[in-house]
Amino acid sequence: MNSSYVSRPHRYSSLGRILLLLIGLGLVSALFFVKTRAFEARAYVKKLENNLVQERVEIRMISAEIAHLENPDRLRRLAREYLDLQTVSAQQVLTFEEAVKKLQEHDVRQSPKVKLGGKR
Amino acid sequence: MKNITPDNSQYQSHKTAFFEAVPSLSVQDIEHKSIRQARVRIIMGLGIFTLFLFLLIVRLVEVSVFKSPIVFTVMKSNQIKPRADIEDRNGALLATTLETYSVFADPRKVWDIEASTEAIISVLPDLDAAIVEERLSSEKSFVWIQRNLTPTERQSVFALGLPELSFQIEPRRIYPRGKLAAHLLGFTDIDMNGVAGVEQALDARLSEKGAAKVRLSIDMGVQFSLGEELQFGMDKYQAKTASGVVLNIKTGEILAMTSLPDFDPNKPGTASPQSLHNHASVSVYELGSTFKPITMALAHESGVIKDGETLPVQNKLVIRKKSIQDDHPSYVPLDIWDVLAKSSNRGSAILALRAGGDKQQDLLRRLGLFARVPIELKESAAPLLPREWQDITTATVSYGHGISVTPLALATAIGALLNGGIYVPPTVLKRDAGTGAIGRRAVSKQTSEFLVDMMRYVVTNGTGKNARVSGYEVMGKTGTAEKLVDGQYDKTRLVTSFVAAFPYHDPTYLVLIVYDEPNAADDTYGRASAGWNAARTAGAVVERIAPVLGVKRTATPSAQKLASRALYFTNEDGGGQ
Repeated sequence: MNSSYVSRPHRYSSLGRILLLLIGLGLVSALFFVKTRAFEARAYVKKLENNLVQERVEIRMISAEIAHLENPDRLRRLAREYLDLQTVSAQQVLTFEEAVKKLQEHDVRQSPKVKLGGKR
Repeated sequence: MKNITPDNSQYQSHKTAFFEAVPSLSVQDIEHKSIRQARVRIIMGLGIFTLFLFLLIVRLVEVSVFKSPIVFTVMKSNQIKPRADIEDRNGALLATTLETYSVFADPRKVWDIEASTEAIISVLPDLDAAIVEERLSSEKSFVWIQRNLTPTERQSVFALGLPELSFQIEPRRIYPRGKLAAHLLGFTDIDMNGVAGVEQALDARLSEKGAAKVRLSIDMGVQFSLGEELQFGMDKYQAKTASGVVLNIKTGEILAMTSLPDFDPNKPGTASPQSLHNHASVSVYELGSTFKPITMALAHESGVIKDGETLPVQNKLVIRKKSIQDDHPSYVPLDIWDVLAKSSNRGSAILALRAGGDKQQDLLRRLGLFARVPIELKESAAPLLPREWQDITTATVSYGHGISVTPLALATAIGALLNGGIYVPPTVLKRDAGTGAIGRRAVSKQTSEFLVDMMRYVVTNGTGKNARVSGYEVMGKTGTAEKLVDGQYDKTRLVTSFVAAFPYHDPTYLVLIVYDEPNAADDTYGRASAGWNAARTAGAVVERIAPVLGVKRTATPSAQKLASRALYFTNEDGGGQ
């Protein structure tokens, strides 16, 4: 009985060490798992950032293309070549008073009895 | 180890039989051997297992605790030197940075130099075959073949399949509008450092990491109109150079600035040195009679002329043995209105001499004509000023001779005379609507109003009639100056200019046109003076840009601000035409 009684603390100590080892292993494993997930997440973020950069590059490219296509010099050439358009002159811009006057003149020509702004 | 107790009779009989058959062995030896073997095996197994477990734990700890973070591959795009975009005042893209491919070679991998050279030249014909061959023959491991290829060129080179060729992604500054505002924008070198124009002036700001887009004051539509009309005029009048500025005289914003000949900033290396020169802000000219509004302001500020007083411009005027001549001689005395409208040098000289040289210099200084224009651009030249300021200097400067300034400097000064009297430093950057008062007072408000009326009179009744635009009430002043060649003024080599402003009822925009050595055209009756070229171009520019800038045409002439002067105005273009 005596020998069994003395050996018990030794058995508990071994069990405790194994338990600590298992806890340590568990913690290290958890850390490893978390760190791996963090790396994966970071890699994903990096991938997204790279995609973002790539998209920005594409946007810049498209913007430059649009700007090139909208170049006034090009538009003028195309307008003259295909639409026979000319530069706007001051005569083509009317004030309200001038527009009313022209309408009155037009109405007088069409129907001399009708006056714009008067009773019909 | 358990002891086997001999209390079983069957066991005892087997034991006896066994020891009788093998008399040399004892029971204890056999037991010990088996037990020992089993023990050794167990210990070895445990040892190996423990060792593996230990290694596993060590590795696990190393990986999870001590291992350095993973180094992720970074895209080339992230490594490229950033440079912010440049836009016009309405957000139209003027300059951006794109990724391009540059091709380089490792000459050590070249199998057949001649064949490789031939193949490269077949897809990049602009390259010099001798240079390519020389580079491929080099002992180096890296030589550039061509930088900043277009996508088509890159694909063609790629299709060659030459193992010695490789590509590197590099940034390239692109100007999608081509020559539009080339001098103002400037350009960068191959390493993306700004070397001219806004690119140089704002280099630090543009190349800052994460820098916001830079929004300029220019309006692409206005810039295009100015450039097109100026090019048309330069071709028509066969001028050596031409330059133009459109300025918002209230905010100081430059809406357009053009200098001809111009260049494509996408290919600055192919441009001639002359075309790289921004004449609008770097070239200094004796701009002639466009200086006269300053003299009129001087006379008004100094109170050296009375209402209705006429000046004896019909008489000879000799100062220090130098005779002052008029291009349009008058045989009758002229009042101050006609001195400006008919551009009388004698009248201007008389007024300036009355005011005195000190006051003249003081006014010129207040109008910023004694220093370089305080603008962001590096390309801003200082004026050429007279060494001594004698009475003859006062007289000649009054009509724009003896002092050389840049077109931009004159535009800013005249703007100050017309915007209520405030000198507003010009800028190439867009000024926000909330920006407070900028600038300093140069002349009184009354003087400014006086000048507005006078310059309107020049266009309705004077030398600036060719700048009239129906409904937009243009004000202006012509300037025709002879160029100084070998110390003598050459009558055949002129610098013509016209400064226009509109609308008369609320002067906001100023247009300055300058031609260097223009010639007579078919419809100018043999004349090459400003009224026949620069004034026409200014009028054409105003006609095109006024609707773009939202200036409304007026059907009825604006009421004259000063009733006493109303009789001077004719309504030829006062609107309603």
